[in-house]
Amino acid sequence: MDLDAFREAWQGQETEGPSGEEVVRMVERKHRKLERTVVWRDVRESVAALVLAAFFVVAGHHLARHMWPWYGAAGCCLWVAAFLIVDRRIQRDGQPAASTREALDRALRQVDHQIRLLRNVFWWYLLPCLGAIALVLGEMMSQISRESWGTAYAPFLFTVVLVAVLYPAIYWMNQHAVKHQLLPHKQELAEALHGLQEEE
Amino acid sequence: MSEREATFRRWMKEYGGIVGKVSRVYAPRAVDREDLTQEVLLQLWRSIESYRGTARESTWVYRVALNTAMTWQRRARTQLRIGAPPDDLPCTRPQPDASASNRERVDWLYEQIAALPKLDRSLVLLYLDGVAYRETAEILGISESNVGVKINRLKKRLATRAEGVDHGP
Repeated sequence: MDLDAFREAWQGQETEGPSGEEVVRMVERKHRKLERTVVWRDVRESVAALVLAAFFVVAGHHLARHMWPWYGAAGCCLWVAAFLIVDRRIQRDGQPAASTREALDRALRQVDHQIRLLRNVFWWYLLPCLGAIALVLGEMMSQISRESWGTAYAPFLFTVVLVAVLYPAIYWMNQHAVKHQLLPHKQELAEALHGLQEEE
Repeated sequence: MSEREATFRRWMKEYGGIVGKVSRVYAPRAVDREDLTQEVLLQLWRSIESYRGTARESTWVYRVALNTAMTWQRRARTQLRIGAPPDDLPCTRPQPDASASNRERVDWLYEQIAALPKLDRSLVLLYLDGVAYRETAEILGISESNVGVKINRLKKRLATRAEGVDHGP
């Protein structure tokens, strides 16, 4: 085989590189959108957690006999938001990788971290939310039950059914993503990294 | 026009071909290629702020494009589309003979490269583009001798696959 002929053909190919005004505008748009999305996501989660926490505190002051379950629920909301935001800040990309080896190594660490996060979603997300729900519901039940057991059971049952349906679904979706997206990607990255290192 | 935009425009004019080739090598299916091209362009745009001129511009563009392509994960919607062929199909096109046009040779090469593991695609691309071993080593983050060993192995592999291709003088 005359590999040089192929190489010559390769170097002489007319490559269709992206160019033109539309490309520049598209990239600018995507970049601005990405930056907005990152900021907006953190703001949205922080504000939602703060509003929810404030609601629990205020509602507790007006409705509850004991304040601690409501403070506990507020704390759970703040914990989930703080965990998400702090984790994202720690994992945020800095400078571009200096080489493919570094890029692969970095990507592998990120995927590993993501896998750990999703596998443990029960502990850092579902359990604190469940804690908040249980605290508030328990406190409300303890008040209402003295007046009327009949009306107290309706919201209780509704919440139990909601949690019983929603929690396994959320957990399953996370584990599905780990199995079908993250693990195959991790395997690919690990193979590429191993290929780079094998002759060193 | 900002300095960043001017640099980006110049890079596209001078090195846009690199982006096109990297995208085609790592995303042989058109449905994925657009996605990868946009991702590479976005990463190039973002990387302009970090470019200090310590490496050659072409080296930088190769590095950003290849790093993005190597760590890029195809979107789930295209992964799961029923009936969509996988990327790594073995080459089924008959090998072009001596009278084949350059276009046929290039298409055949793209098919061969698409069947290689991800890392080897980078090496073959850089080799075919005529990038020096030293620069290739810098881009990939491995030693020059390692590059030499790997490229020789890949050249043999390509040659074996194309056995009997060239019947010319």
